[in-house]
Amino acid sequence: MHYKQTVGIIEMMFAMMLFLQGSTIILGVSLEAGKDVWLAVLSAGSAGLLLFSMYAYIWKKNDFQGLHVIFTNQLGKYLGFITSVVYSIYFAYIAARVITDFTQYINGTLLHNMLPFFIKFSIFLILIYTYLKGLEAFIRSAVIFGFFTLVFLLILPFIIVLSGIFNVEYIIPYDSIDVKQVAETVIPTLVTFPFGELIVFLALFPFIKERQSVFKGGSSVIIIFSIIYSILSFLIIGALHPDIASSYTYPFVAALEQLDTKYFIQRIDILAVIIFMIGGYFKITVFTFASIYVAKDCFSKTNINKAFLVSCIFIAIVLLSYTYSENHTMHIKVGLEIVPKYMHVPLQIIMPLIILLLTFVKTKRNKVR
Amino acid sequence: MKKNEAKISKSVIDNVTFIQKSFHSNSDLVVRSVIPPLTEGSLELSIVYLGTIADKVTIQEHIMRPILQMKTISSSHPIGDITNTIEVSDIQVVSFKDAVIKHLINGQTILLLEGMDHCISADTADWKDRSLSFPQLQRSVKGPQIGFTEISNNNISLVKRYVKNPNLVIEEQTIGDETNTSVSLMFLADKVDSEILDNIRNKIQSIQLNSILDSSYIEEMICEDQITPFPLILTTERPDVTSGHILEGKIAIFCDGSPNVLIAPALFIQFFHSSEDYYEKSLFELSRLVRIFSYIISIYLIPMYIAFTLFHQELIPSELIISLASQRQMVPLPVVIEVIVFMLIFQVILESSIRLPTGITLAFSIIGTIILGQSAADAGLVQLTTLVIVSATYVLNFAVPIQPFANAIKMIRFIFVFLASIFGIYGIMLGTFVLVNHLCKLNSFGAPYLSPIAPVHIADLKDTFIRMPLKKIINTPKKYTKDDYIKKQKNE
Repeated sequence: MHYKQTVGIIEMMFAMMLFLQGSTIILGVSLEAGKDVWLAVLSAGSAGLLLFSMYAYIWKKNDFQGLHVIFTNQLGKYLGFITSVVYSIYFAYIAARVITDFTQYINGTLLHNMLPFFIKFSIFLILIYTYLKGLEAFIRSAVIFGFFTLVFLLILPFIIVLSGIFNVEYIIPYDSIDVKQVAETVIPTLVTFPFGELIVFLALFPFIKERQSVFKGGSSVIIIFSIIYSILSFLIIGALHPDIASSYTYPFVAALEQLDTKYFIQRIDILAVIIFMIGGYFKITVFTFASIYVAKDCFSKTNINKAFLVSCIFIAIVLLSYTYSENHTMHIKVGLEIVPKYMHVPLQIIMPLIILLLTFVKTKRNKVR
Repeated sequence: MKKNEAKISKSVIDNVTFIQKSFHSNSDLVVRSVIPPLTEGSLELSIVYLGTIADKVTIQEHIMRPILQMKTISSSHPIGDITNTIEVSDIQVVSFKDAVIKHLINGQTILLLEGMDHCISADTADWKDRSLSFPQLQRSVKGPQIGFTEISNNNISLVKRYVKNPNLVIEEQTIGDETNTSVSLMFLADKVDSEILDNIRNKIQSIQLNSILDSSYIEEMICEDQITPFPLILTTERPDVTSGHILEGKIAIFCDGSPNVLIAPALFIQFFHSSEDYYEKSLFELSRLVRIFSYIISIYLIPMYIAFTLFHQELIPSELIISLASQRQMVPLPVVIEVIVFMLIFQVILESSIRLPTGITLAFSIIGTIILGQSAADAGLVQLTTLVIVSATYVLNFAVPIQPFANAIKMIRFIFVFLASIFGIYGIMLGTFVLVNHLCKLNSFGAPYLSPIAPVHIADLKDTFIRMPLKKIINTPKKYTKDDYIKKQKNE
């Protein structure tokens, strides 16, 4: 399979950063771990690093190819095809889930009277526009959005500490770490969301120019993001209280709402909203692109019209975004309990492990020959 | 012009009739027959030129007089003898009919000799031009104060004075079937990117326009494959800016008759650069950041105002919201309509003040500023805040040194206002996604428009937001990361 290598590694790193940030910080998944949240995030980050090295290794050993080629190489023609289709649907489903997250968030905090349909429809139009402009332009735009996000996320801890909403007494004592609670948060929810979701980039990596530096770049993004994320979660817990924090729908925004900057913009949470919109847009689009690329590779030998295939995926994403979209609690429950266990773990961890094993055996066998 | 490959005839009378016919017996076509009193041999010749564009003094002093003072002429090489006699530096021997016509319309004087199938063309062109003056559109406080004029050759010589380098190549070609405009490409042969050069050359050659009156015609024709409000070519009227870009490996396009020189490829960030940036102290200079900031704010200020007042009042400090609300009570129009009406009025004021005769400016400024601004607010037709926001937007917009680039966001601003009035902040973000994606997709003759920001090119960032010391930026030339764009076009 031939891929036009047009994307630079720095742009891809920014895109990965925005992808990881996506809905993670806003939804505050890590806050379940209470006051040991920083440890939970850091351990999830380390696990994510391991997962990412596995993905990068698989990708490298399979001649830097896309997901479909990797599956057909390792699993054979038919099984590989089925796996690719499963992944394509999986990516489309996650894209749809993020669209629902996004719509509910916009509806709940910004536009209370707007019909969800209009928000979904507008995201959908933006999605089509981005797809038509191509992957290259999309990943490049990550530099601009990523820069602003990064600046905001780096300044934010100082603002929180200086404004005095951070209460040290909520965190004391530091040394009693509830390992069980941390482990429960980390496995499987926090490892798979957002770090395990990086498997989606296996569909986009073939378009990178500097292939050798992907592992280095990707892992540094994971490390930087884990540190920022753990500091922010720690501060949010300190601002809200460990027992209450996880009961908020959007704990991050709730924490920022306590800030009163007394300047032109009274509350800084508008910036959090913008950051979330950027992250959500990137997450949705990355999943959509991945879903389309995997599907395109799958059906490249058949004479199915490409445009038809792409429109099918778009329609599928829209339809999937309507599952449980009216019921926010149900949506979050599915997202944090069912999807990680029954979708993320098999597709992000078990399946790659199998591929890794097969790759390993094959390369060994080739060497012996 | 129709191709006429025929050679000129040996008879002077035939040739003169042909020329007169070609020019439709134009009244400024001067034909003068001369028979110099020779002591040895015989010579009969006609001098033909266009009286309005050829310099009559030169013809009299340096062509007619030497010829009339000739004593002898060799019968075997009369042309050589005459070229040695005429005191004009640029002389060519021409033998085709269409070349004769072309030389005449370029102001040259044609000497037709009886019995010869060649003729002599002497450069006597004297184009009327204004004298060199300050640049009108891109003024600067420090640095050279000279601007281009309408004559392409003068402009080229201005640039050549800055760049004294044998590698500086000029390629001239004539385009436009009706106007025969001369268009010159100028570049440094050792620095220019050959793919970009080929691309621009091909595009200029394939221009299918009958008339070219200004360099903007060329700009539009060679950029037409990408639909965008943003200019993909830098227009400048400053020789120092042109030289600077040529030294970076870019290509300058000079169009005869236009004081604006085109520079390609142009990057988004370079429209914020002014020549002064290089003459002022580096590092501590904030002006580039100020320009970029004000450009961005001038897009977002009005949409943000609408989004905050319509959708997100809770985000405005309470003192401000009280003041806004008390103003609102008095005003009949909804805020969106108010803003759009005033944006349109500002646009009209800008439009009309550009072409205003000097006599009316005073009356206009009274009507425009005092009556429309102050009195409209006093009469309760408009909120004062709206006036402040809209005027601030236009003031911010003027901070950009290059006018076409500042104008590019006019339409975008209206679209953002529209989105903000439907979706609030969310709508503004939607617009931003589209805008940034659009900018990321654009490229100027193969160079990504947002380079060196997206795609990131760390070496080139030294001269982007802040100018680093000259030592660091001048001797390490910028490299423009190229797209597959050119190859793609070739494949198509």
